[in-house]
Formats: sequence, structure tokens, C-alpha cells
Amino acid sequence: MKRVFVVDDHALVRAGVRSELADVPGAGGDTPRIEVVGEAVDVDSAVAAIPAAAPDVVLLDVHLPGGGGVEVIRRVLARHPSTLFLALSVSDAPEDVIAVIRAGARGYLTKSVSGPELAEAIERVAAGDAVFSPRLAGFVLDAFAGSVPVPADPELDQLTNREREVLRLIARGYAYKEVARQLSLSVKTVETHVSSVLRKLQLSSRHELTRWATERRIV
Amino acid sequence: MDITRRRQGRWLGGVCAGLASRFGLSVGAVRLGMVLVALAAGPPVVVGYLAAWAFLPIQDGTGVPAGGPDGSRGRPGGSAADAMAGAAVVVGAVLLLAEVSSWLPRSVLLPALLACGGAAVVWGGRSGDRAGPAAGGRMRPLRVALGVSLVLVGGVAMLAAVSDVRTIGRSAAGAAVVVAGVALMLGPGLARLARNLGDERRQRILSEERADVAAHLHDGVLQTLALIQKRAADDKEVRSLARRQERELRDWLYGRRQAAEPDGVAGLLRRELADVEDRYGVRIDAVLVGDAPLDDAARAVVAAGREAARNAATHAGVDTIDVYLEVEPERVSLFVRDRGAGFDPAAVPADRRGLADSVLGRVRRAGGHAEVHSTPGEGTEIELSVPRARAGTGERGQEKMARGQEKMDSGREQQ
Repeated sequence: MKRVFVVDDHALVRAGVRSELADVPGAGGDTPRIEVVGEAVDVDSAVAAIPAAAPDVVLLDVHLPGGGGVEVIRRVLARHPSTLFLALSVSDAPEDVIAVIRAGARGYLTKSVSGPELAEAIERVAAGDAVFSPRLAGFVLDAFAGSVPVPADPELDQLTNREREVLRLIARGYAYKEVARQLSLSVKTVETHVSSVLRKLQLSSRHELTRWATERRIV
Repeated sequence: MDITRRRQGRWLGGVCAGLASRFGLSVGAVRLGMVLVALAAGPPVVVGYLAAWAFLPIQDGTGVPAGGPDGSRGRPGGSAADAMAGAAVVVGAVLLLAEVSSWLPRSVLLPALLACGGAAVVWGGRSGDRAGPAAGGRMRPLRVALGVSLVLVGGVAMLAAVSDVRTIGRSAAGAAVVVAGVALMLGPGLARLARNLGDERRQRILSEERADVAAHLHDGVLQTLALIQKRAADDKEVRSLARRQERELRDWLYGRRQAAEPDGVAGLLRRELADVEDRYGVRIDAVLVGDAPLDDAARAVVAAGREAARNAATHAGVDTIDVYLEVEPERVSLFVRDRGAGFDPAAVPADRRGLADSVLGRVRRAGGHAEVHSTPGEGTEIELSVPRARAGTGERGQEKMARGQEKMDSGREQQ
């Protein structure tokens, strides 16, 4: 059973996440797979309460009073670098998505996600893997689309063909399992590819991502 | 055409080069003439040159007057250095002239040069480079203060050279007192006025925005919520209403309001999918990467994609359909996927031509590639792709624009 902390300023959303997760049965039957161990409504309360609750994963809204999800990630990671964040938002804006990912979130889900999908994503993040929703995969493909190879340090920022293939299938709505089957890979390999894309996304302070962000006046 | 200064091939301020190009003369001739006239007539020509330097707009070799739409004036900072070098040359030349000829007493010349230098410093900011508020903004007050004091000192010294120092000192002090008094009296009032104007403007913008938001929420969201309450019994209708409102609100929030006329593949597809959502009460999660201008092949792919989504909505028995569009330099690919009933493609009776004709046939006739992957019980995915026409540079530019636009939007539909 994984312990999760929910940060969202909307009481309805917190209650919704709680009940969705409670409805996901665990392997043993009675106990749910995911337990909500704490809630916070804004940046300050989240930063104060997360370390004490010591959750496996923090479910984080992007828009929060007091500086937004990015601020929570920044301040918690500064003191507790091993905390894992999964962003959960209704936002459609690529700048929001990219900002939380670059701040250190291990994935991005939209609030239309179903209970079981959410539970699986939480477990995946708790295991140290990355979670890409179709939309996030689309943003990343868009960010790296048609990029000409940059001579300096191309290893860091370019996506490999395999990573692109994986992202495309995720953008098409494939679950990791299905991606693995389609590409004749193991799920573990798919997870590795996705994690390395996430790492490139977080590390690439230059080149494509910067250009992409600049074009959109994100940065 | 106005007279402009030239950045290209200039020696000092580019005044001679500008004159030469305006009147179609050789630059060398103009320069020679300028020097000769300066030697003959003296200070007025020098002052005139400096004034031209200060006031004439500079023009780059491209033919675009600087400070034009793009506002770029070459390297920022570079022209400040240029101006200084030029000024040094001019000063040197004038001093030399004063040495070899005797058209100007030293006592007047030096203050005059000082004043000219001050003016150049002040105007340099205007005529040299407008490197933008960020770069020039911080230095500007300093520059102006320096220039103004140079001009004042120079002017006073020049006057002092030709008249009695004490008189000037006294009248200058008197003038300063008057100026300071006026500033004291009017300053706070003016500052407050400026602040009030700023506040008022902010308030107005804020209230206009609020009115805009309120109007939108009222016209759209509140009415839809009222409708939903009235139709609460009809599941499908409620879902469709909510989805349509969500789409509208997102378009509005994220600035995709110009949906009136889709001008690219992504825009058209988005509209078609919205229509399918509304008609069949499904949710379509669309991830769109890239955009391209519409051509026949792209239209065919969108039309086929619409049919595929409609098929999924009517036959698959699902709430959600995934659509993925990717525009690459060499092709447009579209995937429509559901996790519904599925079917055995081989077992489709020959008279059920919907999929074959309106989806697959359409794309193949456009020179594209179409495939159906379906497994009973697992769902269906339709894969469509058409090659893109090798467009000329004009269209490529257009596409780039469309792409930049689309990058803002892509994937937003999906939620």
C-alpha cells in the first residue's frame, strides 16, 4: 500500500481523489492500494505538512495559492530531495505542464484520469518511474519536434528514436503495457525510456526546450 | 526619401555617406567638400555636422531605417563606442584646425566643444542606438545628467569668455533659484498626477477584464449549468453539454478564441472532433502535435479521421476516444483509438462499406496509407497517414507560422 499526500485548493477535488482512490481495491481485497495520509490547501501548509506525513508520493495541483505547485516542489525538494511528486491538474497550458516537470515532478496527469489509472500512476512514481499522460507525451514530442541536431552536446537533449516511438504510442493513448507489447519490449524497458525522457526534459536547460519555451514566451 | 545617416561605410557619424547616397554623389567627393567647407567656414560647419549626427536617423545597409518595425539597430553598445570614437576624431580635428588657423580664440573654442560634447552625450542615446529600455534605461538618467551639466558648464564658460564672470554667476544663481522654486511648487503635484493617471489606467483595465470574464461566465458557463440542471435526467445530453462548455471555456481561457475558421490541419480536425463529441456524447482526448496548411491530402485525412471517430463513438461502446495527430515534415499521421468492443476486420461483411470506403478508401485515394488494427474485446485503432506535398519556400514559411501557432495549442483539447 502506498501513502499519498494530496495538495489541492479545491475541497471537491481532494474529496474526489480520496473517494476514487478508496474505491480501487488492493491485491488482498479489503485494504485499498493507496492511502491518503494528508491534505494541504496551499503552498505554505503543503511545505509544512509534507515532511511530517512522509508520503510515498505527493499528488500536486499546478495552480495553488501562494506560488503554485512549482513552489511547493522547489521548497520541499530543497530540504527533502527524495520526495516524489506527481502533478495532477486541469490546466491545458503547456507552460504549466513543463514548469512542474522541470521543477522536478515525476509525471503529469489530467484530472479526468480514472481511479485505477491514478492508483497505477502513483505506484509507478513511488517505484521511481516517470508517468507520462498522452498530453504530456504530446507536449514533449512537440517540444523536440523537427529539431535540427545541435552540434554541442547532442546527447543530452535529443530524444532517441526509440524514445520517440514510446512517446508517440503514449500520445496515442497506449498504456505502458500496450506500448511494451507493440514494440516487443518489456514494461521495465518502456519505463526506462520514459524516465530518460523525463530526465532529458528536466536537464535540458538549453537547445530545443529553451527555444521551444522561448517561442511560447514560457521560460 | 528623407536624408538618413549610413551605418555602412561611414567614417564618423555617417552623415557624408548619407548625403552622398541621398543625392547620388560619390562619398569621397562629399567628404572632401565637407572638409574644404569646414576649413573655409569653420565652426558653423562643424556644429552643423554634429547636429546632423545627433538628429538624423541612422539607416542600415538593408534599407530599413533603424527604429523601424523591428526596432533593431545592430549591436547595442557598439554604436555608443562608435559615437565616442567619432567624437574624439572631431574634437581632435577642430583643435588642430584651431591650432593651424586662427578663426577661433581658444577661450571660446574649448567651452563650445564642451557644450557640443554634452549635447552629443545627451542626443547620443537618441541617435546612436536604442538598445531597448532594458539596456539603455538604467544608463539614461546618468547620461542625460552628464550631458546637461557639460552643456551648462560649456555654455557658462563660453559666455564667461566674452563677458563678465560675476554678472553671469549672479544671473545663473538667480535662474537656478527660480527653477528650484518652480520645481518645489509643481513637482509633488505633477508626481501625484502621474501616479493617479497610472492607477486609474490600471483600475480601468482591471474592471474591463472583470466585465469580460463576468460576461463570458454568464453567457456560457451559467447558462450551461442551468441547462444541465434542467436536463439532469438525460445522461448523454448532460455529458455532451458539459463537454461542449468545457471546450469553450478552455478555448477562451487559453486564448484559442480565433476558432472561427480553421486554417490548418489541427484546427479543422479539432472542429470536426468537437462536432463528433457533441453529436454522439463521447469524449475525445486529442493530442495534436504540429500543424500544416490544408491541402487535399490533409483534408482527406481529417475527413477520414472524423469518420473513424464517429465509428468508434457509435460502435465501440466507449465513453472516451483517443486521437493523435502528428505533422512531420514529410507526412501527416492520424491515429484514432478506442478500447471498446473491437471486431475482426476479416469478418466484416462486404456490404458494410463504411469503414472501407469513407475511412480507408478516402486516405488511400489521396495517396496515403491506412490500416485497421482491431481485436474483439480489446478495441480498435485506425492508423492513417498521407505524405505531405513538397511545398515551396513560401508555403514552408506559412507552415512555420502555423506551426508556431499550433505549438501554443497542441494537446490542450485533451483533458
